Amino acid sequence: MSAHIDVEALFAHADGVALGAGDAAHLETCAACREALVRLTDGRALLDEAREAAPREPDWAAIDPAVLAAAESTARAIREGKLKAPSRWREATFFGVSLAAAAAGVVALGSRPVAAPVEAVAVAPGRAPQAVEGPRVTRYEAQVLLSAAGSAVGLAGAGRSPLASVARLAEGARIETALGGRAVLGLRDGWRVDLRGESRATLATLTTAASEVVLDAGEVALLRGEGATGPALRLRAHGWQVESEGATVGAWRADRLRVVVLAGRTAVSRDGAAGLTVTGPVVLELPLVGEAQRRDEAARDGDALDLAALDDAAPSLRVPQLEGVTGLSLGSGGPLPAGLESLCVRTPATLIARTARGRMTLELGAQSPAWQRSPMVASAAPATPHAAPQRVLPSPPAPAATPEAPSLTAGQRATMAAMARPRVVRCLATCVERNQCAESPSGVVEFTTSPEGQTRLSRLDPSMAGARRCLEHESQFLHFPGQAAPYAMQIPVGGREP
Amino acid sequence: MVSLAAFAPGRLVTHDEDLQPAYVARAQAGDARAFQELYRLHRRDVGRLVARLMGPRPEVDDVVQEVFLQVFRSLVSFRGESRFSTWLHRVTVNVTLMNIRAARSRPGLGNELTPAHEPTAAEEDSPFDVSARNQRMRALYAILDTLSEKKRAVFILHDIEGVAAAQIAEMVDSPVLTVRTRLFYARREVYAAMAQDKTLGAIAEELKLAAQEGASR
Repeated sequence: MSAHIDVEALFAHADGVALGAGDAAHLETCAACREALVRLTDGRALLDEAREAAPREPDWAAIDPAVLAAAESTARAIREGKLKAPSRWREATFFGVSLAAAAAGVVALGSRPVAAPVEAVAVAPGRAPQAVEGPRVTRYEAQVLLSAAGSAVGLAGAGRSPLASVARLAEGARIETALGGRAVLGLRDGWRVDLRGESRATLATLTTAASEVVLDAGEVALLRGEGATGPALRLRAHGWQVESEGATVGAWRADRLRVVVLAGRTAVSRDGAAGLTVTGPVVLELPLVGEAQRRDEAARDGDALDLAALDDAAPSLRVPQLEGVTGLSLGSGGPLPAGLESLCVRTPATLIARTARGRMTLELGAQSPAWQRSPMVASAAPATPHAAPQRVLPSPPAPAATPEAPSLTAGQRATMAAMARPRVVRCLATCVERNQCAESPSGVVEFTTSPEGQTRLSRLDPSMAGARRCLEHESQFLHFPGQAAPYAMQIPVGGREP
Repeated sequence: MVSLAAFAPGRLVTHDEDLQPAYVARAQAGDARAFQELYRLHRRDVGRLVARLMGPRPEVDDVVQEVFLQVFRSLVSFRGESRFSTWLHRVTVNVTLMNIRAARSRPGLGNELTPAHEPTAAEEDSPFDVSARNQRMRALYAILDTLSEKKRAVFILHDIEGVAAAQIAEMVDSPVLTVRTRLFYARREVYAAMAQDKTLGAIAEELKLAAQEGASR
């Protein structure tokens, strides 16, 4: 047991509370406790400051239009009957069933008040559930094939249970996986629902006519067994509806659902309106607000299902796994080049592939699209739009790089650089992600401050030209001090991190 | 009626609860203006809450937007069993924690930062002060980021934002006792982390130096 003073007592002491006699004597002689006290005093001051300072106000000018547009569309959906509240008596039924089940000491199997009775079908692991044949639509239950690392299931009105203890799940079950967890369910028609870690999904519909999964958070893969037939599996998420006939991965991002169609035909629609149909492999971005966007990227093969590939920050377009896959083509673009290492979209109609031997370009609009070797130009467009953002972190500015501002001290220049640095990083990261900047931009970003204290972007390396607009916007928030004459502040970008 | 404690000026505040059932009912009937009114009434609270919970992260704006989109979509199923603002704050906490989880689980720019706190009018003339304050807030949130998300949320809501434990319990959908337990352990962990954090002293020294240089300029 440590002889040092308890950290809470020390914190209280930093807050002005007197120590006990023993602790006070110990503090006199213990350098470690005195040092801890100094740090806790600083920490307490930090907390005080955090309480007093108002957090940064969000950028309402950017948020307002999106939210107000969503308000409009949601209201319209309600008026048109496309968005309805769940039926109260249906929920009451769930609640009643759950109560009865709880009393009996068994897991409740939810019942929905539709015309047909529940037809529960036992399914052995590894075998897809089969619906009971009948003249009317009947419901079935999903089979839990795998539950790992704290996955849980919740039924309306019945709280949560560990998923492993529930072998079969009825319609309405909500599945939640913990960090590192995973839940794999077997549905009818050979469908497998693979819910990855930190995800939430609801089995919204499980009938012989349709199966529907609502993804509330995280990532889910929908896979169909070989040779299986039957209706497509619907994935729904915030108004978007994705009907997959093959293998599809859905992953929530902050403001959009990213759908990777690995194979097969997939229909996408929103709020019941007519949508588009694509055939994989393809990546679709389904934003909460706005239209669906197709990204002609190579989706990973179904066996790998590496969802890290969906991550914004990951080098998602590096596709070494594709090398061993034969016959994989890119829509009308034909087969992918041999030795493919990465793929990116330079413009909506132009793809650039990096192969072991160089860069290849594909013009999708051409009559007979074919991969052509790209000329290597120093300032040419990038090879990968999703390059690891760490590469673009600008190096800390060297104070000596600002000879035009002799009256600024080194400390002031360092503070100014600290203010500018995150803005530059953010702009460049976005630029690289959007494929508007070189993969590894380098050079100098220079801001000039007028005697009135107005700061403007004054110089930019060509490899960062795509970030100009963003940097110009950000420069207005750099409140550098005005000097007798205009002066420049340079932020080096690229090169080795210290 | 106030649904969240206002411990100090600028803290989370709520609005006239008498008006809100009417707005909610109209919104549930498909009145776009009612949606907009609810947004107008609550956006600052939500923005503040998200910013507090997330700290100086660039995703704050995205999360605020996501909260309202989520609220709009779910409003049809809101049955008034709790106050609208309580429900709204619960959704806010859930969406924010979900995004923090997602941010933690993916590689990113590391310590990509945004200005942490809004400069007041008096501070606008002193970029050094603003920058220094942002550095301090980042140091604080770096410590808070070592907590589990539940403890982190409770600590921030209680010890920084000043929300009462009972109201936090409603927001995080947990018993008050659980909230107090989380707070107890969160404080222990935060204080222990502070006692071990050598950067705190360095920051204090750096700031003193910057202040001296600024004064001598």
